[in-house]
Amino acid sequence: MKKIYFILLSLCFIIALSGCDLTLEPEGENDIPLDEAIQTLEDVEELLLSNYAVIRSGSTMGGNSNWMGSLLADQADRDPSSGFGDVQFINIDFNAQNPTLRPFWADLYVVANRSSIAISFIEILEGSDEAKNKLRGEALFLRSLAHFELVRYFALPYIKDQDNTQPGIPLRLDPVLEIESPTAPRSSVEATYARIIEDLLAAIDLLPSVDEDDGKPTVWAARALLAKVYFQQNNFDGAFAQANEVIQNGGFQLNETVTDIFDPEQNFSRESIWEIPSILLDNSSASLTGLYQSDRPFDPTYYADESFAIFARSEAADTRGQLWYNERLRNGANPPPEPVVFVSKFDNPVFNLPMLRLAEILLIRAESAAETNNTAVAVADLQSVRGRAFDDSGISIDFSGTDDLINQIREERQKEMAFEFSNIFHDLKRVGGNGESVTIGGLSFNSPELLFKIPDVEVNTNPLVEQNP
Amino acid sequence: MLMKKKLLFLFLIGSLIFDVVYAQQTISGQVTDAEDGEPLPGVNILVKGTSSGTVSDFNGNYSLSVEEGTILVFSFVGYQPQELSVGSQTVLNVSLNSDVTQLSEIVVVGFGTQIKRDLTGAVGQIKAEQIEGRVLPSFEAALQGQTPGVQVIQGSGLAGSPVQIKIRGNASVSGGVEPLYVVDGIPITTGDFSNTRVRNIASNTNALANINPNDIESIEILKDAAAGAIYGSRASNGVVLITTKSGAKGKGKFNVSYNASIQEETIRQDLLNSAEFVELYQEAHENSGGVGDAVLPGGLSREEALSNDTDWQDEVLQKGFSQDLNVSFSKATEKYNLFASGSFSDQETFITGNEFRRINGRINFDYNILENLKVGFKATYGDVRNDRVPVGFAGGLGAAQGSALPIFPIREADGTFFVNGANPVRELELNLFTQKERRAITTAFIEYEILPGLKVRSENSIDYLDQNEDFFDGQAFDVNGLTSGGSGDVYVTNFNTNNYITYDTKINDDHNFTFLLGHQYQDLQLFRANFRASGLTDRIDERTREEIINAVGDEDMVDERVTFQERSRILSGFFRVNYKYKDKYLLTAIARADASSRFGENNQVGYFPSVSSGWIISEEDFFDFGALSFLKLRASWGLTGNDQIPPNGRFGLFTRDPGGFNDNVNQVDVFFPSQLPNPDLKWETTEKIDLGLDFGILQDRISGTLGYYINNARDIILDVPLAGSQGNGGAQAARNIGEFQTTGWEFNLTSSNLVGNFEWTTNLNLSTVNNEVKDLGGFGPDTFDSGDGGEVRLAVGQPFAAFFLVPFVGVNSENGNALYLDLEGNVTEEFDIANRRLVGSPFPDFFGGITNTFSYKNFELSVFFNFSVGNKIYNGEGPLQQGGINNTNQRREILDRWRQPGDVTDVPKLVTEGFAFENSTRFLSDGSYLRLKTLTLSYNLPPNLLDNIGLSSARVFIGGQNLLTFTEYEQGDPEVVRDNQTQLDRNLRSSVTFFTPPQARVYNIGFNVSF
Repeated sequence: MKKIYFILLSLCFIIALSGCDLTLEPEGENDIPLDEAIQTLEDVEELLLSNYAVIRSGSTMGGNSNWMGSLLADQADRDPSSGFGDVQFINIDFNAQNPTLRPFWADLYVVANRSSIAISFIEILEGSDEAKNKLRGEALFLRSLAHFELVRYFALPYIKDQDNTQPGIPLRLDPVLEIESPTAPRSSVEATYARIIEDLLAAIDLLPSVDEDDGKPTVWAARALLAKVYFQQNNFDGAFAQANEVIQNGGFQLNETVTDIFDPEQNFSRESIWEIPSILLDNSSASLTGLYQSDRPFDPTYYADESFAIFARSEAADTRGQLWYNERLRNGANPPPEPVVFVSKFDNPVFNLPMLRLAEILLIRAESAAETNNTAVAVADLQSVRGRAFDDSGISIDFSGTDDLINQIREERQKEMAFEFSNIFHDLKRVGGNGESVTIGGLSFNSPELLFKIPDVEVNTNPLVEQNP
Repeated sequence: MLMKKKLLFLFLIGSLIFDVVYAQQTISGQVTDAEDGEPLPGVNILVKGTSSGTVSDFNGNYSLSVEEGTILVFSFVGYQPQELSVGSQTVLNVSLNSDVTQLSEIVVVGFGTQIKRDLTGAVGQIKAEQIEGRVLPSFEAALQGQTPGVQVIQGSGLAGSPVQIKIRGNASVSGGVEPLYVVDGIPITTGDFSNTRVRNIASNTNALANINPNDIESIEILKDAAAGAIYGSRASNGVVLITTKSGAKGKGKFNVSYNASIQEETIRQDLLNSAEFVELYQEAHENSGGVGDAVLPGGLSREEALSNDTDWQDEVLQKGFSQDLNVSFSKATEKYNLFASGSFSDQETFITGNEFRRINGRINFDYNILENLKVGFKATYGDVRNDRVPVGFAGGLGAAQGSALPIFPIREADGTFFVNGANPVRELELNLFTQKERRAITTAFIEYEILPGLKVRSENSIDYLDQNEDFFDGQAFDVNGLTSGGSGDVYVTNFNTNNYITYDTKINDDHNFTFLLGHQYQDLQLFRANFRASGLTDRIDERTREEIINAVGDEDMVDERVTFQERSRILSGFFRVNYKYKDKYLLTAIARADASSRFGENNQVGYFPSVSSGWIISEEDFFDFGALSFLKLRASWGLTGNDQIPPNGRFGLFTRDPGGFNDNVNQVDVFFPSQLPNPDLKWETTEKIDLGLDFGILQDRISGTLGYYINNARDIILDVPLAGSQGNGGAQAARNIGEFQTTGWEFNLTSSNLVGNFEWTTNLNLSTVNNEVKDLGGFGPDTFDSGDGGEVRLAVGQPFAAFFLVPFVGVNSENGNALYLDLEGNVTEEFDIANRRLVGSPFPDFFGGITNTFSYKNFELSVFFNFSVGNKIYNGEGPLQQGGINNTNQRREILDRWRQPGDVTDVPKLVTEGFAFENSTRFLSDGSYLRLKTLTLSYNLPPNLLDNIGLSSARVFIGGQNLLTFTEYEQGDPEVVRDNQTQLDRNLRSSVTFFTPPQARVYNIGFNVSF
């Protein structure tokens, strides 16, 4: 009798012990252990898709990218009394704790890292070359986009015909999937641009030429971005060649009107080279509308700087001046008596976020052509863009010499690309890099004061990184 | 109570029976309890000066052959020994008086019990009497002020709210700081399972609130490594052992108790009335350069504003009525032991709409199949419904003290609610947030005594918790008559098995050994699902739930649905030996190994040893210090761990976010790395050193303990951010790199000041806690703070979570601006967080409690005060309530504001434009207090009266809680813990209030009868 109980007890012990498995892995529907995560090219595709959600977010190109430089370059303005981080932009006095710049920095590197992770997996996964090439090209494109956005804000400008040894940015080329991964020092501006160009040239060889209307980059998007990169370096031959490819062979055409590109009824319009789709459920343009949208009961954060508004609306026939701005009194209990010019180009509630569009590439080709004494192309391109804006395709372009033509193209770009990705700020820096005398916010274009500080988290955790002066 | 001891020891002592070898005369008799006349089994009867004797049987009878003139010593644990000399009689009946001194009490330790006298570790104990008749949010609140070294703060008076327990100042940054709760040997599920994605109402919940406090027989708190190391990686924060009641031998006994109470808030804030608000608002407007009449908030004209004068606190506060009914039955025979209980509790708190209902049932049943084979089970079921209300930043009372301005009406003239500003009445009336929880804890055991002294025991349990939360946003009906809501479910399954062998043996009478060898295995699974739904016309019920869940992806119905699952397992082996030599020298050694699925692959197993010893000096021959009757010195060293780290924390994970992006037509999944693998992640280790001196004076009429401890916490997990350029966003790596040290003195004293007809006993305890951050892994002090310019931070050489603020020194009498000190000590008007400095600690210099019990005839009066001295509280709502007149009602201190040049005051001028939320010492307060925590007057009906009405005992009582508070802290209740949503904030910012509700003042009346 006693033995039976003893055996029963022993059994309890053994059963209990044998049921112990401590190599548990998460069982949630949506959490996959890292070493089992990327199994197929579809997984890589979803990984890259996550990058678009980051790019369109308010912290990066869906928001911050569209006001930071505009505010510095006196294109945009805002109420000075509020906004803890924005005061630093208004006063051009940055610190490493700036709450706007922390996520701007970190999130763009998320895009670069996920792209690099994707690249590392594509090598080892099964799949057709076609599928692999497309994904690899997409990853290289997105990584370049992130690096390019970072280097223009955190590094001194690229100076034409010089050794650009000034610190650029840490390049995120190696995938980081371990907490002990090494950090990277800042590559020089020269090396940073070289890498961006290398990645984009590779992407051009890999990407398809036809867009499936789902917001993925094509070879034309890669060429358009490369044109922007070369242009930023004042490499007019390179910029011309790439812009020319896009214009000649991409099959793009300017839209009928200047508002079509932001019109949700006209997604993937003929002018669009690359846009990030937005549907009602996830409204990817929400951040941008929140920053500028002029027709809500609450005033947006930003509006047009007074002098820029005068410039932008100086010609009555310019439809951009009519359709992209909304002059009215501010809302609120005691609005100041002076009206303000609000920006209305982003007023649509849900629209695809245009990332690269033909008008910008035409203006890049125009200026590059003018710089390389190809006046006919320059005039024609300027006429295309201005003609559309003035609803007069045969509008005459009068100019007195190349310098005047170039100046007209630049002014046209300021009007056409106003408030889109702080185009004016980067262009002023570019012009300075071309040896011209340029100031931004009263400071020389290459003043270190115009640089954002590397965020504190980076400085505290990456001993290799050099803080901006 | 006594019967339980008798049964417990029957088996232990039964094995010590030995035969008597010589005899000249046989003497027999019965040993009984002097108090109730019940027979006492297992009483040791020794012939004095020899080792021969016997033990009384189950009916208390004994028989022994002795020489005439022999002196017999009758001794039994829990009773005063008695010596009687044998004359010529053959029958000698003896009644033993129970020994009320603490030293002889039985103390539950992990996987066994010990006599308090033999303890080598620091163990605090509280009994059922200290719990019964009190109105508690959950049982652990009863630990407050009862044991030194245990700091207990009830978060607030909200129903079912958590209780913060800090045993010896335990500190973690991102890990949990809750002690391990073990009920009848089973580590139970604890914590806050409320899902803030359903609704964040700025308060936490407490899974322990489901347990019926009246089922508890005793609670033991294992404080040091000597006591705690048997729980290894889970013992750093201390271990709370709860023993539930069991049956008492004799005829079956029913017990009915009832307690009714009224609750109100302990403190109400003094805020501006409407006229004052309008006047000050106008002044602020003018100070900001405004001219003419200010436009008042809420779109109200000056006349409308002045015609309203809403005291919002009045509107949301109430006198809550609560009642609590308990019925239990207990019975024990030689064969079985039964305790069954049922209870109903309904607590309405002082906030309108906040109500907590609990129904509990329990059966504890042990059965002796054979003399040496025992089985049993303990099963309890609890059903809780908690109608929750928002507080703090989320509204409710928080809004009534802040954003709901006195100029706002509750309703418009047409009877509809005012909606142009905060309206907590509307919120409390229209919004519905209910938490329902069902919980069953079931334990079964089998115990077999293989040989005398050698026992095997297996305990197996399942603790299942099922919680549903349901939120309905009745405020947000749109023009179509539709609104939104949310629902969340949590299921927690906690399986546990303990299997162990104990062996008691005695060698040469002088060497007592108890060996324990065993293992423990636990599997904890948590599943969580929640959704938010729009297009609702009414609150979500069982039917609509299914419909909504099935409608996932339908954009009109379901905004998001999220599921989450986590699981952890822990397998442990443990060994303990207790050695006692000649009742004088004590030695205990413990070894425990824990393998846990929470630990990274490079640190899968943790080892936790401890060694402790005791020397009962008063047993030495040389000991003779007059009244000093007992003196014991004990010392212990050991390692314990804290395994309260996220179960999935060590894994590298990718997360698939459904609908994270779109393909221009539909939402599509995105997939991304969400957590990097952390193979080195492990428990936090605490090296605990404990010294104690236990003493008894005048035959233990006065007894107490003086203790000192050093806790060196190492491997503290700090979440170190990764470099942004590594491309993992805001990812942090949990690294075991921090070191803290906590030291403290503990003192407690129990004294029977007066005995006889008028009895007076005093129980006093005092503790100090000093902690210091020793190492932060080389990271700078601002790496770990409570946000940018936060009030609290960690810095090497400073107290844990010290307040770090810019000193506020007054107001510039010329312009009314606030004045601050910079780091050089210069007065400046510029507020710069670079000028922050160490200004205080949230930990008290000392804290404790004192209970005085007076009894005369059938009356008993118990008066319990608790106190805390030297701790600081930061009033996080201060900047808003004393300056933020734009959108917040102001405390009346603001009436002393600066108005014109020359005014000398310490309240800066008010402004409407350019108000800055500046954290400074202006809002740091001393949180010291002395509080009359409980007062109970009870009357026991006299036995002759009881006999007439057929009761065995009856007691009526009236009492109160939080009746008086002596403090200089005026902002709120000084006994405060802010509920926070993240563990980090809970650890660092619990003394940073934000419209935190006060505690409840309770007046109660009740009775307790047995028959």
